[in-house]
Parts: sequence; C-alpha cells; structure tokens
Amino acid sequence: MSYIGIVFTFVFGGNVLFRYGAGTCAGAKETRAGGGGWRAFLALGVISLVSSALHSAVMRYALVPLGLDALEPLAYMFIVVILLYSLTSALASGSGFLAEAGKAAKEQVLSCVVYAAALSSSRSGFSMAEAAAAGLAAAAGWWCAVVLLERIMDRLELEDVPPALQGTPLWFISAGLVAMAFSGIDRLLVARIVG
Amino acid sequence: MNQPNERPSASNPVLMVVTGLCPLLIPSVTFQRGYILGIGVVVHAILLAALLPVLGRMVGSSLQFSLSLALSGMITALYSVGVRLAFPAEAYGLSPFLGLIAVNCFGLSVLRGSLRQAGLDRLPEYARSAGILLLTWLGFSALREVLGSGFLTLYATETSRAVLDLRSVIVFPLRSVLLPFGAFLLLGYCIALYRLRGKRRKEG
Repeated sequence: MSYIGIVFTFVFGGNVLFRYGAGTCAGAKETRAGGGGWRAFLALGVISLVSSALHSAVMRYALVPLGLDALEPLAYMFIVVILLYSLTSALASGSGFLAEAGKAAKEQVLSCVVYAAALSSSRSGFSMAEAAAAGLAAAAGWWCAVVLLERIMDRLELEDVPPALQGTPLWFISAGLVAMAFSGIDRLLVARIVG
Repeated sequence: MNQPNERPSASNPVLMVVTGLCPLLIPSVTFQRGYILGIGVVVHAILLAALLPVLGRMVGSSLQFSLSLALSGMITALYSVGVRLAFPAEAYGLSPFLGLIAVNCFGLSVLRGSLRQAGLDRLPEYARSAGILLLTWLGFSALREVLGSGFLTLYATETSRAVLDLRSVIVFPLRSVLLPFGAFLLLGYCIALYRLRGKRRKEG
C-alpha cells in the first residue's frame, strides 16, 4: 500500500475515533482541539508515530518470529508505554523547550488513541516506516475528527434540539453519522484509487 | 467547547465510565463478547482499586506509575489467559481489546466516578458500582446482538460476524448496530432514553 493510501485509510475508514471509539476517554481529554492546542497535537502525533514504529518493530522482529504474537497488547504496555513514559519523564524533568515538549508528550503516552493507532498499524502488516506513517496519520485523522465533531456540535447549539438529546447523546449520534459516511472510504476503495 | 466527558448527562458515574469505555463497548457486538469484556473491566477495576493503595504504601511515587501499570498489565494478562482457555475462538479477536482494558481502565475506571477513591473499606461500594456497570454493559451488548442479528445467541456463532459488512446494512438497516457507527448511534439514543426516564421519575 502506498503512503498516500495509508494516510487516506487511517484518516477516513480506519479513523481510530470512528472505528474504535478511541479518544472518548479521559486520557485523551487534554489532546482535544482547543483544549491542548497545537502543542498537544504535535505531541500526540510524535508519540503516535514513535509508538507505532516501535510496536511494529517489536511485533515484526521479536513476537511474530517467536510465535508470541498473542502477547501483543502486553508487549505494548511493558515495552512501549513504560519506555516512552520513562523517556518523556526524563525530558520533562529538564528545563527549557525540551522540558515543555516532554510534559506535553508525557500526557499522550497512555492515550487510547495512541494505543489504537499502534495496534491497527501493526496488524496491517506494515514495515516500520509505514507503521510510523500510519501512526502519524491516525493521530491527525483523530484530531480532524474531533475538530469536525466540535464544529457540528457548535452548529447544533443554535438549533432547537430536544433537551434529552442535548450534549452527550447528540455527540454520539453525530459521531455515528460521520462514522457512517467515513466507513465507505475503506482500504479497498483507497487502494483502487491511489494504489 | 463541547466535550463528551464534560456534559451534564455524564452525572451518573456508571454512565460516565461506560461512555468513557467506548473503545471496549464498540467491539461488544454479541452478548458473549459483552460479558467477556464487561467482566474483564469490572474485575480489573475492583482489583486495581483494592491493590493500588497497598502498592502506594510500599513504593515511592517515582516507581508507582510503572509498577501500577505493570500490575494492571498482569491482571489483564491473567484474565486474557482465562479467556483463552474458556473461549479460544473469541480470544483471538478480542486480544487487542483485552489489552485496552489495562490501558483504558488504568487511566479511567479506577480514577473516575464512584470507583475513584481507592481503599478496602469502600470495596462494597465499588462492587455495587461495578455490578451496575456490568449490567449496563450486558444490556447494551444484548440489545446490539438482538437488533443486529435478530436473536440473542448467548454463544459465539457466525451470526453476528457474518453480518458485519456494510453491504448487508443496505438490505437490512438494523444490522448497522453491529458496526461501530451503529454502536455510536445506539449509545446516543440509549443515553437520551435514560435521561427521559430520569426526567419522568423526577416529575412523578
């Protein structure tokens, strides 16, 4: 699959918010558009890229050859999360720009968006570089989806919506409708168009 | 700014946890998958709530995060082994989500709502909340299976998996509840119904 195909797939049909529901949890609260700003977005992108590449390497060179691919989620937690958390903690304890970057990145390590991106890219049989691209695309796709839903919710606030549907129910219904539209843009369609 | 976790309907702690656990609720397309994942979440949350204070007293704050995550991972690993032994067919498809129990619950269930305050003295309260959470989970997964495949199998068959195809949704629209977007829609309407029920109770 080409890199353009990977990006399209992970932004639309394979969007981690619409496909897995990732990012509706508290762990992703700070990463939301407007809440964390561009700094949080960049931190999420970098962490997602690194964790996807790292997890893909662990799977490709260690777990699959040893026939231990069933341990995939555990390997993610013990290798990727703890390693990245230690690295970002070390960065955050410093000073200056690196410390700021470390603090922003530390908040993203346990995000289920990053986890979903790493798992879905490693299960697609990508190389390390492709997995990294998929991780970055998944983070960007998730961010775009959240911004889109926020805009929809802002518009709906001006409409006469029944009280029972206001807030969370309307957010989920809007997410469902957008997800339905996005689910049509799947891997087969993208592969036919861009290879 | 509208955020799903910050809206007033999330005042019910169980509902808050359920909506926060969407990555685990969405793969619950059958009653069987629902109870595998639901029991996993409940067992994990109660064990962590009971064990984390003990761990906190044993180690310093610098090590607490890594050890807590390792503990969370071990609980999930043990549960995964149990699922593999009991439901080998379902375990393969659910393995990434079982891992998500640790990643998600660690940051969410134990730290939120009525499951927030850790301590053995509050264990009955956790157990009650966990029971309601499990019932909500089972109800949601059963509803998805009944609406999507037409009946409640209570057992893993090809029924629900066979209909997980967008093309079949065009012919049978209700099957969409088995797909992720259908889960979002159903969850939205269920929360709205819950609100309506609460409002009527208050008025009554």
